[in-house]
Amino acid sequence: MEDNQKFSAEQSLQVIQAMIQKAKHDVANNSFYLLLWGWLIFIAALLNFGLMKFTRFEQPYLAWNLVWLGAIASIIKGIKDAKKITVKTFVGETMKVFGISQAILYFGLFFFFGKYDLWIVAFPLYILVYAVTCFFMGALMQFPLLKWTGLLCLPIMVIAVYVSFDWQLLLMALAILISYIIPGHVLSVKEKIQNK
Amino acid sequence: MFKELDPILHSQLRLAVMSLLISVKEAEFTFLKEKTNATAGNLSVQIQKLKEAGYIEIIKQFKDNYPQTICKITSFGVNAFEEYVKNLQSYLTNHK
Repeated sequence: MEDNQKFSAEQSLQVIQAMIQKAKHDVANNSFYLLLWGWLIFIAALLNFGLMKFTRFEQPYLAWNLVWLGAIASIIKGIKDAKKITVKTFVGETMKVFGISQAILYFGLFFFFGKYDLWIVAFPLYILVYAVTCFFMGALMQFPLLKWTGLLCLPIMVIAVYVSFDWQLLLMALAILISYIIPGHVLSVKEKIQNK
Repeated sequence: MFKELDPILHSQLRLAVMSLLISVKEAEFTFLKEKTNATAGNLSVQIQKLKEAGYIEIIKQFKDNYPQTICKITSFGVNAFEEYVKNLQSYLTNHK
């Protein structure tokens, strides 16, 4: 691009539009986190259910230790991406802060549920958090599918309040499949097309 | 009547840099170079002019032992850009 001062007003407008479009397309790839956490929670919930229903294993909740893998993978990916990044967008920065806030929220909830033995309300509340998370992220990323799949978690949360703990596990898996995994795969395809 | 277009911004490369910076929080020199397809020398000169006009802030630092130049639009730069777009729109309306 030249330093040309004799370009027309129309060309000027074209430059502005083209550059804003280029900056917009450089938004960080977010499907990784949706798919990582989506699949981990999905597997952990089904594993917990399977261990409870079909084995005599006394500590089926140990299946949730899978989330530590997610935490480690998220930290490694975060550090790697920070090294590669050449531009900071407002959306990217908000997503980062939102991700950290979520980690604090999940840790806090886990602490309270454990301390007061409130595991019967844990999964409906987690499903509610997924609904809010997806709705917010969908709006921020201008990805309407994520907003709608987040809202679909609300009726699942209501049902989860009225069923037993083992059924809550299956509803949790269903909620994460709808809210994280399906939109995560759609977003991944969109990102691949965009990055071509 | 329309106001004259800001000569600092009415340059293809400087306008491109400002348009990129208005859409993001901050950007590295390499990002601006890649998106504008400008040469490093030319881009350096133009971002220096934008800095002198107070439209952008340039931060020079080290990242993993490599020098890194980060550019950020200032609030003064945002106002100038908005004014430029407003004048451009009124120019285009009057010349239709």
